[in-house]
Amino acid sequence: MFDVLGANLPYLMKGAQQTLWLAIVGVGLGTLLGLVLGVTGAMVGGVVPAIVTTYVFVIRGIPVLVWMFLAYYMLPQLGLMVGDMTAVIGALILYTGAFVTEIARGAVMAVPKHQTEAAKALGMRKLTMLRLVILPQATSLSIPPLLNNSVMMIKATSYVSVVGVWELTYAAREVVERTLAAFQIFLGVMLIYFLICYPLTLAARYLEKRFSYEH
Amino acid sequence: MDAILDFFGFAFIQSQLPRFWDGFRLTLAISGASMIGAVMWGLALVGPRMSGLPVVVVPIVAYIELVRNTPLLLQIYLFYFGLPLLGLPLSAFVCGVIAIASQHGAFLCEIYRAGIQSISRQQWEGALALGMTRRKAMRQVILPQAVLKVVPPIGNQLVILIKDTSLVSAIGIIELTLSGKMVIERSGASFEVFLFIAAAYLLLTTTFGVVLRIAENSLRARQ
Amino acid sequence: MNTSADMPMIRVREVYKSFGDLKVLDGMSFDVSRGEVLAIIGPSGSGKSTMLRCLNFLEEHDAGEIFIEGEPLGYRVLDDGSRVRESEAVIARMRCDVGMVFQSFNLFPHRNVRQNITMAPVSVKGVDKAEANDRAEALLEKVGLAEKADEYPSRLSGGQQQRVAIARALAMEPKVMLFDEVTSALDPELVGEVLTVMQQLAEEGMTMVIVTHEMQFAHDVSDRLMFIDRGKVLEEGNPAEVLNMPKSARLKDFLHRFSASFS
Repeated sequence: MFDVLGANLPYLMKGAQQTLWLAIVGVGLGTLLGLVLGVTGAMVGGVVPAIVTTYVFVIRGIPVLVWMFLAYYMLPQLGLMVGDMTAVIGALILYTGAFVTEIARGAVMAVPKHQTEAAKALGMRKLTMLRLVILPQATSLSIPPLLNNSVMMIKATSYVSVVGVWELTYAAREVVERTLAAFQIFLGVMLIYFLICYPLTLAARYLEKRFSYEH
Repeated sequence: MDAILDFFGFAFIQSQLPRFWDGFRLTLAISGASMIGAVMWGLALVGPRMSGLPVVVVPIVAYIELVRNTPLLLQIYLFYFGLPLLGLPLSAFVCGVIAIASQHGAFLCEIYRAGIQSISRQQWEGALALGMTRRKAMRQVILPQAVLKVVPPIGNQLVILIKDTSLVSAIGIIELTLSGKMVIERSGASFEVFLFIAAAYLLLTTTFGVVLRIAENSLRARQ
Repeated sequence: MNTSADMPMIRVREVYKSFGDLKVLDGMSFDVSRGEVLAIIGPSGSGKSTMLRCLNFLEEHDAGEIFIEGEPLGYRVLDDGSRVRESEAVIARMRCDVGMVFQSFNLFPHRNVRQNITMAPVSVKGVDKAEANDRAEALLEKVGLAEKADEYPSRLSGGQQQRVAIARALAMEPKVMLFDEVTSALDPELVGEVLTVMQQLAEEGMTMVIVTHEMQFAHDVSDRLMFIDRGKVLEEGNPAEVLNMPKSARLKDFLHRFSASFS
């Protein structure tokens, strides 16, 4: 009954590998970018918060698929001879970064003001306070939303297939066009995505619950 | 001045405006139809989801978890390529709307549920202690508070929905995103076309966000 | 230049502070000498907490000058009268000399009691970790919580948390301790244990500024008592005299409302 899926599984698994690679690079680097921007935006004064807010607003207001097309068409025309892969990863990083910026900034701001006052009163300067008082408390707040955000972005890696980059979803379409076994293949591939995403969702839920018990 | 505008391809974009306008209207139509579908689908799910009957709850939870943890794009493909095999050759538009409404309805169901659960037992007890019937308590005490709580997350979800309509470009619906791609590929235009498309989306999501906030504030003011 | 021994520990001169249109400090001036315990009382909204918070620059005064051992705090006034804000490093260094205990304890919830106490000495003053630990043990002994070193703050009662907060401030070896209504958030039966620790500190000669609603405690422990209303010092002097023979109508009215608890 699942013969088509079985026969094409090795090919699909190669696609899954590519999807995982996209997720690790795109979501990983995007998360790093967002953490830096978010913490900076919450801690530094002057024009920095406004710049960070603008970045988040512009990136999040536009579909990630449009960012992928934009990067795909724009980078070569700007003289950056990068491959399609690099362009879409760039879009994934920027997009992940915007969401993570909001999460990180929110978590830093959520550390009560009296905590920073106590740190100041003990003679701590900004960086010491950030390292010893703010980040440890913000971290436990931000891990569940960061995991949820990773799930959202792992799902979004499938959109690169629309731009023409080969990965799991692209491979699935190829197989379906060849075999017409839409249900088997698409449901099977959905299951692969589910196996990647669901543990992260469950971990986020568990940590969120544990965190709410502690407080 | 004209030279600068020309450098950014404004003149060209202007010449293509009718195409983008068609695409934009299609994006609006898909967004509108999917929103209505998603809101209703979520409402239809939330009652059974909270019914406490395992025969009902287990399949619904399985469906919600599957839909939330797999890419919308694949769900769109599943409807578009799968339904004809079942003898239901629905149009790309309908398939896209069904897929989007199905996924976002699942997210909305969980938002509704969280909203209802967040109203504490004390509120129920307080209302009942005042001599209200359960029906009255639900209508006058519980729902007004629940609605206020869920309006912002529903708004966020619907903004994501608007952005997700770009995915139906993958099944050949010439909405805003695909109209941009086609203009580039047919006429050899440059990437500025997509800056324009991006700006149009930003305008759409921002306008929708502002309208939602106004609605939320007037709701809050009325209560 | 006077030597620091001649200087008052704290000197406040013509300090003004507003929040928007609301004038909170309206030309405050007073000194606190070495080893003196000053209690500040006043109705809520009188500016007493704001004044205290200005003494370690958690609140920034709009005008006037504050000196800690003769050194200007937060702002340096130039010869032409203009003010220059001190660098963050200078402000942080001066705060090391001014310990503060808050109404809501403000312990760090992610660190245990010992780490709460050693964190600032190690990271700010560069004290050796083992030495900081020894000192933390001694301070916990002093506030009667030696056995709680490994607990997390959330497992302690309010009174215990507040005593840890006092130990944490003392670990920086400050020259002055500021207490901002430190018993207001406590259940009545827990107030005593905190006041006992403060009394002990006063007897050891610590310079202290205490904002409080505990009239009896202010009467018993302070060397001098100051009544503040609407951002101004209305009365000050020997605590017994101020409390028993109030001159102004406002202080009489204020004390009248406390008469139930003050004998």
